[in-house]
Amino acid sequence: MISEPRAAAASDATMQVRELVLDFSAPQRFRKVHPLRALDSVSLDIAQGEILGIVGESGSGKTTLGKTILGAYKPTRGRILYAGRDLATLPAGRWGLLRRDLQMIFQDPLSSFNPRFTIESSLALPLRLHGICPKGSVSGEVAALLKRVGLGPEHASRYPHELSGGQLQRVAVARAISVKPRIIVADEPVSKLDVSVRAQVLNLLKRMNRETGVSLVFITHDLGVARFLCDRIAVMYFGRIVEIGATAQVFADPRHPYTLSLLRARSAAPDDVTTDADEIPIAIADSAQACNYAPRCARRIASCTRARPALTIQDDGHASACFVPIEAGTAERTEGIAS
Amino acid sequence: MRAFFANKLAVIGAAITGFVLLAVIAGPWVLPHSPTEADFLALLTPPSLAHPFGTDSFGRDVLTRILYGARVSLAVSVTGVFAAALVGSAAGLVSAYVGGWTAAVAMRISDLLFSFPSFVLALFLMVVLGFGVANIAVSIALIYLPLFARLARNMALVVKEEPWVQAAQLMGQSTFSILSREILPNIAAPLFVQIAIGIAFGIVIEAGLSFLGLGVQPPNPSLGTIMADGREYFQRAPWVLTLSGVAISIALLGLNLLSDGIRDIMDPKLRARL
Amino acid sequence: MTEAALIEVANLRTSFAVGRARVAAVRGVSFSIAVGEVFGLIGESGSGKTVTGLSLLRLLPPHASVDAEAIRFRGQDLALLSDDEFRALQGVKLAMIFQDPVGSFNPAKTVAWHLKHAIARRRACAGTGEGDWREEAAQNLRDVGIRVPERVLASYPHQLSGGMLQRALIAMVISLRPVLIIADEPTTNLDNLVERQILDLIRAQQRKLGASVLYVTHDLAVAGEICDRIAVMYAGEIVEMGPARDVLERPRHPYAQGLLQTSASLERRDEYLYELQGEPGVRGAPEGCCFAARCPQVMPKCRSTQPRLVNVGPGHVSRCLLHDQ
Repeated sequence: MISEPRAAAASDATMQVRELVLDFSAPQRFRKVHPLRALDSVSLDIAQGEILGIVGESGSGKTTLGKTILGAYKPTRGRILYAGRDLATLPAGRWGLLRRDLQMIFQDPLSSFNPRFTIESSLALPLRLHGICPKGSVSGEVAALLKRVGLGPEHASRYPHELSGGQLQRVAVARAISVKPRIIVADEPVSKLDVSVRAQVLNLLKRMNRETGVSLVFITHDLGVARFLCDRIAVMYFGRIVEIGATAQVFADPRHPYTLSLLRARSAAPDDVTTDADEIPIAIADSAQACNYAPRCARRIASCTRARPALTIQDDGHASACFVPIEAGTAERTEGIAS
Repeated sequence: MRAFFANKLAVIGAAITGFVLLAVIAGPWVLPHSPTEADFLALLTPPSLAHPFGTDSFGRDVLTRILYGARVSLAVSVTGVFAAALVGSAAGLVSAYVGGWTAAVAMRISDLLFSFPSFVLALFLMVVLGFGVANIAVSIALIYLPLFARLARNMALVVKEEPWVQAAQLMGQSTFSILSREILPNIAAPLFVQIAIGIAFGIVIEAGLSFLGLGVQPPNPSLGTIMADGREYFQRAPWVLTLSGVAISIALLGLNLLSDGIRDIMDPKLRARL
Repeated sequence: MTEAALIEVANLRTSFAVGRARVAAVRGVSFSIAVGEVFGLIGESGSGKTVTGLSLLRLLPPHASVDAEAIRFRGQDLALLSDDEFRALQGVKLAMIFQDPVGSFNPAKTVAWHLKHAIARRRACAGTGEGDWREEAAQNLRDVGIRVPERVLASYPHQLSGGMLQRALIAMVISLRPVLIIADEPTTNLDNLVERQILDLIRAQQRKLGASVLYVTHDLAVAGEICDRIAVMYAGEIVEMGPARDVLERPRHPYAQGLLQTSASLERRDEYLYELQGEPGVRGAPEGCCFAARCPQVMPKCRSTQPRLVNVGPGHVSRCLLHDQ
């Protein structure tokens, strides 16, 4: 049982994800193949106008989570409640207008655009498809969109490979906001960009959120960036959310040992940093009934291998899934983490 | 475009093919002789000014017959290969994107067709369908269909995983729009190369079938029937077989160089983009 | 340039033939690395940092042309060496850690095979070393933090995670006992936690071996952790160079200052981050300063005059007309 920050029925959140499970299994005809559990009972809320950060390393399931709530993958179990419907079980043909509301910005800007079409063409398509503006003014609308993201009309007639990564990512933002969505999932939008260009795109995203009130689900492995941009942060480890709460709180008062480890990664004292190289093989009878961080956790106790810790709230909105959470106020300060 | 002209072989290929096309289309109007009318006063005359390629055993001008015959060969081959390309690519695209049972069955049928050596399959089809020019086109289409289907399917399988296709899906684009706008233009280049190669082989198949008497019926000319005739009286009049053979070879050479050229310009352009 | 310098590079110029034109990737770069020093080369795309490292090791494709006044290794001019002589140095005295560890391993061979060959190579060149190579290989793996070396030795590259593979690669490089290690963004593809451990590892091993390191990266913070001296590159030139602390805490060149201001504003949690305008890698006016197109402090003469490297502190130089008044 997961205790949600707010009662599900009365929640004013735009989207509610409940107990989402996603198994990947390669279909084999004669052998029983163990499915890979990418998402393991994930629950969270997305409020309108907030920027929610999903933080984790590779393999944590953060990208999968982002794509699943947009409908790219069909969940094995669980619910995704939005606009009175359950997206998890909604058949592909019934999405219709919902597609407008949920948009995505991809990690690699170059491959997120069809290389055979100009920028103008790529931006005009969603406008025409969803009837955002009358046919005659599509061209003008494209120019306005480009201007809004800081590009000039000369970029419209170019092809994707003629633009730099930073410029293309701005076009991606333009494309996402052109259909006036309610939620945008941004999957590591700046990790493939040059360092001196990242600030431009990050500022743009923040501005779009402040100006239009669109909710942003920001997936990243970079905690410094998450702290700058996000109102709330969810930390994921191997398909599970291990900690979630207001950004300031999670950074000032990390509860889960993994969160502390991530925060320490960039500091000068790496004693709490553990990785898969430090895993000690321990006996776990049933991984569904155990904490999946246990093999490399320094605070491990007996219960950790016998039961799965639930995401429990310690105080307003700040929840963590750990049997031995770090006490409030006792964590060594993590100020001054380098970005 | 500039890259194409830089590739000398491609330019030669294009030139030869262009010349052949021109000769085949315009030639018969220019030349005075008839391809079927016999002239018993000029049987098997060697090449001369009046008859640049000589005459055959019925006194007909060989050059004129070759050009008319090439028209038939090209028409049949182009029709057949284009039909194969259209139907095969569409089938391959849909099966790659939509998948499922029907796709699997379609691919297995395609594999079955593909496993026969093309000429044997052609013979079989001619027997089943009956002789005649139109059926040669049908045979060529059926022979090449699996090739296009598999090629289109393999490439589409790769392209459909690209983020821009996912972006289109998330944007709510229809399946038809995704197939025709997001996937097809990005797999078209190798398909065009295959069309050029296919036309070349189609010409050979038609010539072969006609050579055996299964295709174009005399007195209508076909590259194959001309060669069949020429073979019979090779000792007395070697120019008929030789020159018609050379004509086919030149056409094939042109097409092959052209297709190589198309392939080459597609490749480095992709590499340069990286 | 002192006698203690392990490697000295004077006016390195590397360009690539693209179609009929030549594109210059490195335009006159000079630096020296002392024995046991970790020297950082920082830059973004188009800066030429990776090409610089590859040029030193002759690892560029045939359409590249490398030119320099001198590239001296232990006083000896490398340009004078034949390919065979250079190959004897390459990989043994001069080793490289690539960004993507996967590409450095033969996917059809186990880690043990790789380590065996590295050790054999070193023993052949040095003419020393007896004993079972397995024991040495296992010890190398333990040195890089792998607790169960036997299991890793028996594994194939695809069975190991990125972090483990990078450790194995470092173990391979260590077993060669190189004198100079060129590390090209070795932690860029790794998660932050693993990156932390790998950085500590590189530093520990470097000290133990007494090797020099040319550390190529785009990440200022990482460079600050591990480097003794740093050179910041932009559009093929070095624009600032000096002791790591000085360059990172008190940068003098507007580009380095801009990078620092962005991370500072991230630290401070400003409402909006400090932004450098424009895109890296695009050279401004050909006759003027390479950074003129983006510089927040640009002056008219910056577009027509090429700035030279000027002293701005002890051992600290910057290429900017602001200092060259």
